Amino acid sequence: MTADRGRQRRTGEAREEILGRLETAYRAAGEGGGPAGRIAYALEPGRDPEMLLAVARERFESQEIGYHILPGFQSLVDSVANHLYSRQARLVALQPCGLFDRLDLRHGLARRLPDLRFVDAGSGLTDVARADVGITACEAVIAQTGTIVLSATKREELGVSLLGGVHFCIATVDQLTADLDSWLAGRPGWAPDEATVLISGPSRTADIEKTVVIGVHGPWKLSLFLVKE
Amino acid sequence: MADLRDIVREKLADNALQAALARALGIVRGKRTAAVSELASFEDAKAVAAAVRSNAVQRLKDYLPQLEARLADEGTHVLWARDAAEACRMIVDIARQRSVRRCVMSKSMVAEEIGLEAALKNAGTVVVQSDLGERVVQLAHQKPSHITAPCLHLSAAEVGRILHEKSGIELSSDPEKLSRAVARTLRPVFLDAQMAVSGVNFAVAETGNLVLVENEGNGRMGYTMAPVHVAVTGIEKVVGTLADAAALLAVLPRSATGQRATCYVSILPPRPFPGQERFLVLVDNGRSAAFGAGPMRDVLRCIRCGACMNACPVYERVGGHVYGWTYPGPIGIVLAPFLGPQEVRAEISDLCSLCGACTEVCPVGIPLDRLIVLARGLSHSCRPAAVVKRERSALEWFGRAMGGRVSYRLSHLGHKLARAWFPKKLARTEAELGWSGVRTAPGPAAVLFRSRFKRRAAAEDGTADEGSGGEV
Amino acid sequence: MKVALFVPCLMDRFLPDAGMAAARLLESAGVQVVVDSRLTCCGQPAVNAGHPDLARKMALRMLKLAEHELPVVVPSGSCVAMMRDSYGLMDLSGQDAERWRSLRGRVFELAEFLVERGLTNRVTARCEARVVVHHSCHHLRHVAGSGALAVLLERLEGASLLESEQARQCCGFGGVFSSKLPELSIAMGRARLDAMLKLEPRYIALADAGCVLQLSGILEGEGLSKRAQVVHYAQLFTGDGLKPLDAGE
Ligand code: SF4
Repeated sequence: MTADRGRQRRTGEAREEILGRLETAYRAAGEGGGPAGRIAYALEPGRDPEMLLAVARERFESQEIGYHILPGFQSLVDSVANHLYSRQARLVALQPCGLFDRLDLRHGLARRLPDLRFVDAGSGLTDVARADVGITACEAVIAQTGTIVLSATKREELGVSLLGGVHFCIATVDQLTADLDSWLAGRPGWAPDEATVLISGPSRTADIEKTVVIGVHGPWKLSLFLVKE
Repeated sequence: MADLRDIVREKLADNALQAALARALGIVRGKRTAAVSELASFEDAKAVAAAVRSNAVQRLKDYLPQLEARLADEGTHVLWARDAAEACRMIVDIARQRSVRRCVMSKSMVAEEIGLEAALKNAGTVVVQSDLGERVVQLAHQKPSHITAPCLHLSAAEVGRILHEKSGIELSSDPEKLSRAVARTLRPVFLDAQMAVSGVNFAVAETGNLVLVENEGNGRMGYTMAPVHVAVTGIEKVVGTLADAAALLAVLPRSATGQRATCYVSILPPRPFPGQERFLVLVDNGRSAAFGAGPMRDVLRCIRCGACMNACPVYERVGGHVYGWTYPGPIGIVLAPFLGPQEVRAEISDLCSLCGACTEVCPVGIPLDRLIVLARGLSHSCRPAAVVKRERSALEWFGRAMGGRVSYRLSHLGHKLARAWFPKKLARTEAELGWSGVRTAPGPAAVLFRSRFKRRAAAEDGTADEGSGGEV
Repeated sequence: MKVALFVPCLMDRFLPDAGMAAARLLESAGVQVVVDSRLTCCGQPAVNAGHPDLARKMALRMLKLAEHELPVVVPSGSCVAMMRDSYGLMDLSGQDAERWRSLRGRVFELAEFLVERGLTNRVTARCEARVVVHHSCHHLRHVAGSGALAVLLERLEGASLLESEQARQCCGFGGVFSSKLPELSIAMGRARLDAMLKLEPRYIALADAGCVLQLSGILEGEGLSKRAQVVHYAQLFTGDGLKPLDAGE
């Protein structure tokens, strides 16, 4: 505890000194800077759903994001089950969320794939890390950069989109938005305990000779199930 | 520091390095161009990003306390460090008090800058770098040579050899095999580490969010798995709002790796996750001095994208190690007078031909080449007085020679006579100036342009001082 | 129209043909050219070496001598950048600041001047040769962009204009840089030349005296001067100092 207090004292002194230096230099130089604006893109999909989808698809393809456009939620469960089956998934981690509850996704999948096991809700990170596939919903899909926006308040939830080799994400077409700016603009406030992760492809590196390698620490496969409903 | 010219020579003769640089920079330049072309106008985007950053830098004294308050209210500990030693001490303390045996580190240039890895090691903590390139460099007992691609100087074969010798990974020169193999060795480390150290790309004053940008997922692994997360960053990394961060996210990955967006951008909430402690260490280490250094303040706008070194024709020939410290390339030259160790401050600014390729690509509009000229001015006090004196007297001599019509002509005549009468002596001087052998020094014109022009005018008009060709 | 042509020190002393070419190119566009032989050097070497104080005297001299109404035309982008921007490092005040403001508004690089004043259509010239154009850094990034030179070069009939893939990369001259780290400077120049020579040019055209000296020095040093001649772009228009195709064969 004394060490803690010692640290606080030191950091307090440092704080005053650093801010003091900034203050002095600031007074010497005065106000500056100009107004910022918005960054525009060569291709602006606007709000037109068809355009948004077209741009998003192009981005997904070039960023190695698999995507499946589905007519409705009924076919969604079938499609997810099929993909799990073809990937020979044994253990799946589901993000706890309202959409999956409403769809009764867990039971739907269990009915179709009797051998499939699920990581129990409330399990720790080491259990989540054992899953072959993590399935999440999302907050939004950004067309301009081919980005899926996820949010979570717990580390275990964050682990679902990170720790398995494969990440399935479920979204609806009406979640498409033009760019990060437009998503932020439509989002009032920010919960202090909510983490947001923007995902724009399966994990990758190009550290060795600038050769792109897909699948490093995070998933090597990212698939988006986009429901038109 | 050994003689800079010798180090440069060595790098120029290193064929493996030359091949690695040519390949990597060729790829990354092409990708950047393509990614930037998806913006309506790079110049306009640059203006927006520059405004965001210069506003943020200008308001640091308000934004920093605002950020601190936001974080402290939600339970994130905010620590301030005046210099590298203080920052390391604080983080070592955190590790000691929690008996941290093993720490995973994701790529953080500030951690590199302050020498955190060594400090933690000395205190008995095992530090494992988790970014692939950083891990390779760590295993090889080298330093990163680039701020976004730490092992850019190594070929795949060299990486394969290092990984085989140091980590028992099967010998290979296939980037894919190697990358996956390293990731596999790191999995258990993430599961077992008691502390994760990360950098921060942007800290948002208004909301208290910390924004982390990466591709591999090692940063996410770190802050997700470890019970203690220490984010360490420079005091200049603050921005006002999330919209400001979004503007920068539009240019950062495009400039850095030529991606529209990196695979992962984490926007961490101000409140630590349940069951986790979080610290933010704000490091000054020379930044407030840069803030007070007139036009050099602009160096604080930097978002560490690395585009300037990718574009730099000097970096392209010598790689990052020649610069001698954490930040290579043009940005390294302009940061050195404030953040750099004494021993690099003398010569680092020589590594520039003032071509301005860096300024052209910098997404936050830092006038790098102009600031490099100023950095040269600041370097004199770190160089041996005799050397500076010699340089100054040569320039003074030049100034006198150029200082009037007569002296100008006399110096030209002197050059011509030297060439005729003392060719050996002149050749020695030329060689000293680097103009001999494979680059021939130019000979003085038999007749100066000005004389030719005047004579022509005289021949045409019968007068030398009027009409076309006359003096103003 | 009358202009004051300032042929900077390096060009005056080492490349007088380029200076003559600049003068004659202006004249061919109907511009009357005067040369003030008291003007010598803009002070660039000292500034670039990080000693702006030593350049101050030269800058003040330049500002005083150029205190007239005429446009000042310079066939060297780096000197223009120096006078337009770097004089800002000299803490000018009072009359000197006034003079700088005036000069800034009327100092032009050669191609920039011809294009901005709409004079290029008066220029007609022929040059039957393969020409590789290399962009001198200051000309490209601080002065005129690549646009002005391209517009001017359109007036050159008969030439096949080529650019190497490294056309926008520094030739490695860099003033004091070429002496402080000569091996590096030469390696940079060598790489550009290799890329250019692949295109088999007769002429390699640049926009700054330093770059011409750098690349011609390397060509000569490596015994390659017969492969191509390095020139200032103005020479293509007037033929000043151009060696014919079969020179030396
Ligand atoms: S100076 Fe500009 S280009 Fe260089 S790393 Fe910083 S932001 Fe990127």
